[in-house]
Amino acid sequence: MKKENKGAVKFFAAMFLSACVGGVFGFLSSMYNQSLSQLATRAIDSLAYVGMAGVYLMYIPFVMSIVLYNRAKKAAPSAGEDELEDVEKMLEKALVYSSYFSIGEMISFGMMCCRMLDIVESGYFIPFGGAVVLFTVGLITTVLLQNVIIKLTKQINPEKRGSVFEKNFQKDWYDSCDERERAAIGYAAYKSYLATTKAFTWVFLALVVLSLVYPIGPAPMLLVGVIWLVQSVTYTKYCDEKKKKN
Amino acid sequence: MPLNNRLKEYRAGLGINQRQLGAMVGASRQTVSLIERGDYSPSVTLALKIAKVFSVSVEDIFTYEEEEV
Repeated sequence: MKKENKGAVKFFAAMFLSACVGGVFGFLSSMYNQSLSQLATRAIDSLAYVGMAGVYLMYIPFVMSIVLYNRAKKAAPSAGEDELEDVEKMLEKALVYSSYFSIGEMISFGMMCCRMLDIVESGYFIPFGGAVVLFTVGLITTVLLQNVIIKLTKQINPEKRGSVFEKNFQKDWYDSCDERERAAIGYAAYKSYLATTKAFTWVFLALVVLSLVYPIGPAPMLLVGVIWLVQSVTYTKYCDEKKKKN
Repeated sequence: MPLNNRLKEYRAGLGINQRQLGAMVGASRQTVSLIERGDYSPSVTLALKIAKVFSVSVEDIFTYEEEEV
């Protein structure tokens, strides 16, 4: 497909999607006989319950992380040079899943706490209490799990340094990486920069639209703006620094 | 663009494994493995360090063949 036609298809797809979203909200608004503002309030309030469910559901990647670590731990002692790559891939995946768990858990817990009193007063005290316990236990066990994953990685690769319990872990780990690993980190950081720049744009637009129907106040936009600025400034600063010296 | 290389051959000749070679040149075992498979091209510095381990020139281990356009 030609580049111009691809752009036109994307444009019309975005228009169609926007029309569908608008249509859905219009339909819901007339069905429930409520204004957009009231609908937005109901939708946002129900996100707290989604958050509570999320605290439980986030244990899926946590369990997957444990399974992968155990498989790697079992395979590592008898692995030859070729099998070690598979073991390292399992450990990398285990670390990624544990990160998904801790980030997802924090987001879910935060969403739940926004309407904490409403959740408790509407008869969900036991699931709420369970979610609080799971969140606390989960965060502690994630750190312990990441520690044993890193330990096993260091056994396979003795040149690696750093402990998850130390403040400078990220720096120590990076310093023990070779040229290829650092190049991979640099590439991943660049791709992450591109993706988050797009995400910030869409999140900002969404917040502006939301602020028209729901009193979110200026805080969310300020928060997004500050993080966006930090990302942009640090990226340009270190790009410039790297260009001047190797 | 990956380079053709005889690294595995030279390494076997010296009787060292990938981890040991990696330790000698400041690279990880995985990087040595990727170089041997032709999936990673080392920097000039790393290539020189590798050649020094085997007491040969870089060109003895690594060869560059231009791809036909």
